[in-house]
Amino acid sequence: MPLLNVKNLHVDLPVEAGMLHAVRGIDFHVERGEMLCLVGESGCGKSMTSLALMGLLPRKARLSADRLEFDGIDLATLSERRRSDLRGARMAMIFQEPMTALNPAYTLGNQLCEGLIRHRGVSRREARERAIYLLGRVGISAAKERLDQYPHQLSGGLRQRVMIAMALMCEPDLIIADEPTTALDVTIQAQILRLLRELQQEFGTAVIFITHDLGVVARIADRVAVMYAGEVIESAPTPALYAAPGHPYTRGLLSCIPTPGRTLPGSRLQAIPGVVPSLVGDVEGCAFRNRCPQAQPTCERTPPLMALPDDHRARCHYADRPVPAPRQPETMS
Amino acid sequence: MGTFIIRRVLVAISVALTISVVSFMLLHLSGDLATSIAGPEATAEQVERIRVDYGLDRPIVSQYLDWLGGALTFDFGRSYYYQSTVVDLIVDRMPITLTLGGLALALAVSISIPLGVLAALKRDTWIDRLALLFAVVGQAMPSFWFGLTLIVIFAVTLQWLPAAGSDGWQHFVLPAIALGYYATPAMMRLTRTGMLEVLESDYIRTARAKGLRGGSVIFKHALRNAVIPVVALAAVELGFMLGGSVVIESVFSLNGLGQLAWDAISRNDYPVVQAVVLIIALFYIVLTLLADVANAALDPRIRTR
Repeated sequence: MPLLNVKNLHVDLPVEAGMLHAVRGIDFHVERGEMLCLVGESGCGKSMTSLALMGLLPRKARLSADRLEFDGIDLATLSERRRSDLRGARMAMIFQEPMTALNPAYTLGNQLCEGLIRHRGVSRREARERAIYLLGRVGISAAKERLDQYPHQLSGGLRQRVMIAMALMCEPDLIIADEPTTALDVTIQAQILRLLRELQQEFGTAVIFITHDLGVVARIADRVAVMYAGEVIESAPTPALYAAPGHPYTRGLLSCIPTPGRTLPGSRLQAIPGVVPSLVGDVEGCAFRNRCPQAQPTCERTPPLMALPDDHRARCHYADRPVPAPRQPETMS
Repeated sequence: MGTFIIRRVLVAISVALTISVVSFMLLHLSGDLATSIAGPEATAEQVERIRVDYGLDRPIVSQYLDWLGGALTFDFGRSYYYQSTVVDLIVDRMPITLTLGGLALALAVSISIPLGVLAALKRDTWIDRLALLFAVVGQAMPSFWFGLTLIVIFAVTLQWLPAAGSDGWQHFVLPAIALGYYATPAMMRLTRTGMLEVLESDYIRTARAKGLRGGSVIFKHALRNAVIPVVALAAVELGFMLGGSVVIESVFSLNGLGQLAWDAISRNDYPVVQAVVLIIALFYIVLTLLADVANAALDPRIRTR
């Protein structure tokens, strides 16, 4: 049984223009100790998905799912009280903005310890010992002195390390990391990324890593799921995805990544033309077809999730067969 | 924290000195003091005698330095009207004003903060609207009228509490309610706005992601940050209530500082006016200082800067 099993998850948000379908029926699962990377551009629903898993959706948001199970526990019907017993204890989250994610009024020690004290009922001294140990593990020197410092006394990279240590305090089974490196310098990004991967393997924690970067970041994962317009449009073990991307959007994303040595200086960087469709109201057919270089009349119909070899799935009519020959110029509109 | 407090105290002292200079000069340049003390029927000779007796013929700078020298040793001279020293008058009246202001602030804080938190948590519900109505009424209603209404209901009709005087605690209940209600709306609305803002912040999401219970999220993580501006406002409100409660003091016949200042102004009792102005300015300065220290205690970013 997978640790996390999600079937047909929907998240709707009422907005002024109508109902925004932020997440439109996604399926995925996470095995114990596995790292799943959720990739997509801003507004594709990846953050809403993570908040839905944590039970931290905005109050107005509406959630429905055929299955939303964490270790056999049905999250969709769980009371807020039982849900808060899981949060921080068995599933933890690391956020995108380390500069604002810590409370400016309390010391790091206080904020690191409170979750463990709440969930495990340990003494403050025991909690501080664990905090010191974990701060050391995430590469923070003079951990003992750091406990009495306030967030504003730390750099962004250090704060994100503190957030990682905080997520690990109760030894959760699952950590959701929502773009934890996006707000950091490139050199710090690499350090944090390596650290997360190391700790994930050392503690055997499952990780859902959310990112918009299919280049460096997604390569560290065991599996990758690509999201577009509120749907998972492709999912595969990482090597299979990079070897043979099945969806034109994934291929587009991959061709956008400049490769040192192969992208010539002065050459134009690739981009996917067009914009993401509005998710207010219903989306008919393939959501990517207005930007797709090989769109066909067939694409007016909603594509099924096609199964490819190696546990590889792609939501495209042409994932497993060649696209028909280009149409005549006069028929193109 | 130590250097922070020392710096603030030095600023406070220079503000106090500036206020004493400005108020002294304004008072002495507002007209011929000797003429107004002597009264409309006095002869030119009598006016001259008063001018010499009261030392008003000397250069204004030396008058100020004399006065300042006295003030530093708590000697503000004698009242022109009462047969006692200014200090005795103030010591006599101060407890009434402090009791009234303190009670009113305590009342205002203990109503406005819980109500502001509740309104923020129940945003856009009937509870929020009711709190808003309470605030708007408090801001719109003149305090003398509210005071009189309280007297009519609780002193005249129900006869639960006395209407006037300052002999026991019962005498302070109605004026404290009247004055406290006046200070409540602004603090309540600031608490509500602060809570709404803080509840949307990333660190509240982090606190919830840790699985902390609702009370811990609201009171430990949110309220502490939301009340920081409220502390500064409360200090200003208390300063206002200590210095400006003339209206409430006269409605309830309480002989406090406000009443003293009012009488002194109408009787041209300048030593008293001068001293009361300085005392009220000192109230403000001390309260601002306390608010700064309280803010630094609440917000570590201020004290370690």
